[in-house]
Formats: sequence, structure tokens, C-alpha cells
Amino acid sequence: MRQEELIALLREKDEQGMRALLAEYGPLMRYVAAPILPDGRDAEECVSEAAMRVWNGIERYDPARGGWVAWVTAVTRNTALNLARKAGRSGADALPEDAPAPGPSPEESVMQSERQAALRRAVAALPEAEQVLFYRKYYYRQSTAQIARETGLTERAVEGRLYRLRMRLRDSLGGERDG
Amino acid sequence: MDKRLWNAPGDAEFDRLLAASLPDPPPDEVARAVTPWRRVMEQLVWGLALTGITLQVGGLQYWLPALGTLLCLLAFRTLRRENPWLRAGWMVSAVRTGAVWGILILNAFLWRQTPAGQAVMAVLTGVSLLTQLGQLVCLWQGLDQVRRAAGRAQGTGAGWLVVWYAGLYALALVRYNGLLIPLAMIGAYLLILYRLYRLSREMETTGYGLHPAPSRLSDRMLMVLLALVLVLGLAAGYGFGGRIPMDWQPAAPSADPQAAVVRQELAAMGFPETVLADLTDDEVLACRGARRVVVSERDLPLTDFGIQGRQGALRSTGVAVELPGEREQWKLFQHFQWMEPAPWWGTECIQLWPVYDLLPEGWAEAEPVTGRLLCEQNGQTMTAPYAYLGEQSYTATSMFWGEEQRRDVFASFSLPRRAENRRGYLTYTVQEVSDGWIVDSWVNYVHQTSAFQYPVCSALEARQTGNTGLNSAFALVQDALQFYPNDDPAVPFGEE
Repeated sequence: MRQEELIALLREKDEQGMRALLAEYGPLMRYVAAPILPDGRDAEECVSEAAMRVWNGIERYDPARGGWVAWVTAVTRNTALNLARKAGRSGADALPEDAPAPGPSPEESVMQSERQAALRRAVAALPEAEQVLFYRKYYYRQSTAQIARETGLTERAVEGRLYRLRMRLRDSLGGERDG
Repeated sequence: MDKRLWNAPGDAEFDRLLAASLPDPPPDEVARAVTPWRRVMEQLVWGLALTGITLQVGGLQYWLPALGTLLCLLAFRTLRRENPWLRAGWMVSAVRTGAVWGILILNAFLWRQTPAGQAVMAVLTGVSLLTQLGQLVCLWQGLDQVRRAAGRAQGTGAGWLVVWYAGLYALALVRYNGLLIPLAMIGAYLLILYRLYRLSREMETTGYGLHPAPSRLSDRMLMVLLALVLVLGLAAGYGFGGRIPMDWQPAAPSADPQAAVVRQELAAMGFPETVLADLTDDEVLACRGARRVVVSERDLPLTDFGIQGRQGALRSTGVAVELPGEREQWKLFQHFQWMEPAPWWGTECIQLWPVYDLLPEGWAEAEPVTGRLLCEQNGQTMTAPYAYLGEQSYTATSMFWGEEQRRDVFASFSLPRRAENRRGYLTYTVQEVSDGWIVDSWVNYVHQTSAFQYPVCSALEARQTGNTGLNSAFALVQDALQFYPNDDPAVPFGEE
């Protein structure tokens, strides 16, 4: 089924749309949830819940603001993070389980917005391969082993690339570091 | 921008800041690129495209399919944990890569032209073709399983590749020479590849369900290793496998006093002493009682044949000795001597057109063609028999006559890289069949001018396939001994 047909069915609240969503995008949703929720049952629960969120929130999907695949992955990732937070665990490698804390102060909100804007510019300036690596690591929270398997690299090579990526971002974002 | 926003004493702290500051969901292209499926399918489609359609230009017919084989290997390597068919595809791909690499490396060795080499090449080619089909069957079934697991009704189209290749092999078996079917097949192949490409895009989201296999060796390292094996194999071929093994031995000095007398008689009749000194006592004694000697000598620089920039010059000497007897008989010598050394010594070949082949109405073979090679090494005269000397049948292709079956006398050999005064000769005897015919004996000398040729072939093979000239690694020079024996004195044509 074509993507536009699927979106149209979901907008019409046609159950065929929901079935098609799970058939066509279920693997993607599982793929996104798995690094955050290593337990298969949690991941399945996440996929069901994320599919319901897509079903209920389809009106909020605006093609002008981003692609369909990116939107579905964003919904799934946020659902997985919420479930992980609720369960008090996360499968991500050395990454915080804490998303932005609820109810930040006005000053923190301003700083957060500035950081996001700076990071958006810094990431946009990266070559495509490094952008993909950045999102794998920090957005999809994939482990080094998973990135290595899927990119045909060794784990050591992935670690090296992540190190260089981090250095590059530090250089472009500024800030002080130890040493 | 306030740089203090990113103050982070350590990497963990910086990672935490990055994760907490993620701006937006990734762009759609990035989201689509984060899948094990896309890279693998791109490798497969490119791999199949490069192995299926070859461009007969500048060696691309060898290197592009090699790259395609490598891409297919990498793709199956990633997919090998997915299902049994794809695992089998990985194993078949590994065998196919070995066979293709073997063929590519053996192409740099002259040994492949020997009977043993031809047998090995036939086995490797057979394995390569069979594994290519096997690979496609595995791909077809493997993708079908992925498709069914994803609940998709539409087929992958990979099965048509099997049919396509089977059709291609059938056309090769019947030696189809037409243009229409191959053109249709190229179109069909591109359609199949396009279908696979479309499928890979359609299945991108399904492909997230794939489980790429972990590996200790990265794809890049595997490619580097295989490239290294290829380069070393080719270097070994060009370094050690591009010459014909020869049996050089010190030449025995002339010891027969009768032969010495005949040598003096022949020299007195005008037989060039440099050529005479190279003949064996038996060959000299065969000329005892000679009635006449006719000599034709020409210098043949390689540049004379429109081949600019090629160094080296040969002196070709044709000598005809009329032998005593009731029937007119001539012993002919075709001698060559390198006067100006060539920059590269690979393989050489002499193709002889004997007078009894050119003018069978006038002359018949009395004694077969023999001969030998000579050179000087460290002040010692060395001699060797030709590596091959005899008649060979082959299919010659000519601009004027098209394809024709020919049978000619060939001598195949290599000359030493470190030696001086490299030379050799062929000799044979003819007797008159009917009076009034000229003597007309031709030599075609083929010299390898460069190591850079692929697949490596000998001068003999180059001559038989017409692979000599400006854009080839082989240069051809020609000379003929021609005279009318009824003239007295008989003078070679062009020297009257």
C-alpha cells in the first residue's frame, strides 16, 4: 500500500489503515523501540501503544513539518522512552534515561531552546554519514554493537567514529571540557 | 551563542547534554537511511548490475564484474543470519568470489595456456557460472521468505533473474550471434534490476526487521584484504608468470672437421658468416656440395611498422642454399638477430609461411622445419630449443577475408632478459614439384613490447588472434626471402 493511501485510511479512521500500519511499519517501530526496551514484551507493548498514538494523533501529522517515516519513528521513540522511564530502566548505552525534566524553570527553558538551536545547526553542518551516525547514537539510542552490525564496521571502528563525531560537535558547539 | 551552554567536563557529560538537547526528529532521509535494509539492497542491486552487463572497454569487462561479485558477497554477508536461503547465498557467494578471484589472478599467468592451466581455468569458470546461478536462486528464495514474513503479496522479481541467466547461458551454448535477442535481454535485465530497486525502497520499513550478522572483520577491511590478494596475485603473475620457461644450455663448439670444410665453402659462396656460425654441424653438412647461395638481408626496426616510440631492431637474414641432386632442392634458413635491444623481453613468436604452403604447385616439403635460439651470457654462447615449434590450426580474422581456418608453422619462445646478441633461426628443405615457380618464404616475427596487457597472452596467441599493432602489447615485423631460381645468378626481389 502506498504511503499516501495509508495516511488517508488512518485519517478516515478506517481499521484497514491500522492493519496496514502494523503490517508495513511494525518492523520499523520494533526496530526503533528495541534499543530502548530490550525486553521483547516491552517492545511489543510499545509498538501497540505507539500504533494507537499514531491512530489517535494522525491529525497532528503535518507533511510540511517533516516526513512520514520520521514522524512514525518519533512517535515510537517517545513512547518507548516514556515506557522505559515508567519502568525505571533504559537499554540505551551510557545515555541518560532522563529526557528534559518535566516543568523546567523559565531560565532552563531558554537555555534548552538555545542548545537545541545550536545543535540543530551543528548537526545540519555534518556530512550525511555522520548525521546518520549521530541520530543512531543519540536519537535511536542504538548500541555500538548494533551500529557496527548494520553498517558493516567493527565495534572498535564505530567507537572511533563516535569519538571523532563528538570532537567535531564539541568544536562547533564550544564549551569547556576537562584537561 | 553562549559557549557555556555546552560546558561538559567529560564525554559522558557531553553525551548527556547532546541527548537532552536533541532538536527534532531526524529528517526523513536520515530516518530512512537508518536501516540495515537499504545499504544491503543497494549493494545487491549494484552487484547484480555490474556482474550481469559488461562493458568491453579498457578491461572494464573484468574489473566491474569483480566489483559486482564483491558487492554481492558483502550483501549476503550482512544478511546471512536472516534465513537459511540467505545463509546459503553467503556461502555460495564466498565460493564464487574465490573462483572469480582465481580467474582474475590466473589471467596474469601464461601458465593458464598450458593444458593444466586450461583445465584449472575451465573448472574455475564452471564454478563461477554455477555459483552465479546458485546465488540468484538463494537471493530469490531468501527475499521471498523476507517478503512472506512481512506479509507482502507481491513477488520480489528476483526469480526472473534466474530465468534471465539461464536464457543467457543457453544463448552462449548455441553461440547465438544475432543482435535482437541480446538487446531484448539487456532491456529485460534493466527492468528486473529496476524492479528490485523499487522493491528495496518499498520494503524499507519492512527491512527494519532484518538482523544483520555481527562480524569481526569490517566490510572495508574485507574489501581491502580481497583487493590485496588480487594485487599480490597479479603482481606475481606479471613478475614471474609472464615468460615462457626455456632450457638454455652452453652451446657445444663445432668439432667436426668435415663441417669446417663445408662452412668455408659456403662462406666462399656468400653465405653470411654470422649466420653460418650459428648453424649446427649437421645443418652445415646437409649443405655439402651446394650449388648456389642466395642471401637476402634486411634490418627491421620496430618503428618501421608505424609503431612510434617502440625501441628495438631486428636483422632478418634469409639464406637459400641449392642442394645437389637430380631434382631441384633448396635448403632455406630464416635467421633473426636483435641488433638493438628491446626495452622489454616477454614472449616472442615466429610464424613461418613456408614456400611449400604458399606455392604448393611449385614446391613440396622435403624436410620439416627445425631451428634453435642463441645468445651470449657472460662471454658464453648459450643455446635453447624453441619452447614450441610445429604446426597449429587456428581461426584467423582478417578485415579483408573475414574468419578463416588456417594452419601455419609457429615457433614460440622467450629470450633472456640479461643477455647479448639474442638470435635464432628456422630452417627447412623444399624440392621442386614443377619448374618455373619462384621461391617465396615468409617470416612474421611478433615481439612483446610491454608487460601491460590483460589477460596476459603470449606472442603466439597474439599473432593467432590478430592482437598486434598500435594499441597492443605486441609488435609484428615481416620479411620474405623471394627470388626466381631459374635466374642465374638468382637475385632476391628488391635487390636487383
